[in-house]
Amino acid sequence: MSTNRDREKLVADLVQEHFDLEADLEQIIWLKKGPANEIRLLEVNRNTAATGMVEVFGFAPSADVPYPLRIAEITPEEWERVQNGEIPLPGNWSLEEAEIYAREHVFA
Amino acid sequence: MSRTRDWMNAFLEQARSDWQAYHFVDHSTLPPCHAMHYLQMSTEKLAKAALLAGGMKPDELRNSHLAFTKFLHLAFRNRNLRLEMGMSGAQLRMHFASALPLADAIERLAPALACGGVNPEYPWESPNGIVHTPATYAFELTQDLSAPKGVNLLKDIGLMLRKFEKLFG
Repeated sequence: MSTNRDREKLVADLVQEHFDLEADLEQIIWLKKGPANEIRLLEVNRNTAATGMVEVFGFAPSADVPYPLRIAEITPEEWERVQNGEIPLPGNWSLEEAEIYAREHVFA
Repeated sequence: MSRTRDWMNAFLEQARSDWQAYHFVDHSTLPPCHAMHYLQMSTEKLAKAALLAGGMKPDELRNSHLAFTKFLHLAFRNRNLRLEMGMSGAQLRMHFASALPLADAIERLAPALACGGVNPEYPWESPNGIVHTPATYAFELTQDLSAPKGVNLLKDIGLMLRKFEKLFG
């Protein structure tokens, strides 16, 4: 049975890996509110197409990430608009209890 | 089974059928516009099935037009896909990055994104005043899809459609 600490470590590893692989990624927001059996990440990437909406893709659990991963990528401008409430999050997503990882802090 | 799950399965089933139609028409003597149309529709529905797998509601997909390019841009993060393709995260990122212009060209075949220009469904007028018919137009994209990057992208799309449940849920 995995614990919250296992999940936090797993998310920290995913965050590190995504920053390593994607040079244009500025921030990753882990949306902790939601089902305990899935991981929700909102990734702020200055090199993604702006669509004016938050589009969440699903990845199935894998051997080393044993949770469904829900992941959306938005531009820094769209992130501003999400925070201002101009762009809604999908119905069941919330910024409450969100943890924000900034590239400069992860690599500090 | 949830309603969103039902919609995901329906999008996936239609994407697979469109994919079969693409191959059937691509090997026929019909004009290339028809194959391009099915390819665009299959990839759009594949990406939308992955959005539904992400928990998005069917109503939220209505305004989603660049889903396939976004989907491919994110796909290297998928651990199961890395295993299936025998690549590391960095290798898969590069692999898909090189395919993004082609994916974008496929996505922009949709009339809603073609901005009144080249598309496989409706006639359009070029800036020099010539009116084009899709059925008689030579789509450059067909050549690009025959080149190695195009062949690889088509192979990847086929894999993602076949193994969707394992890869995306």
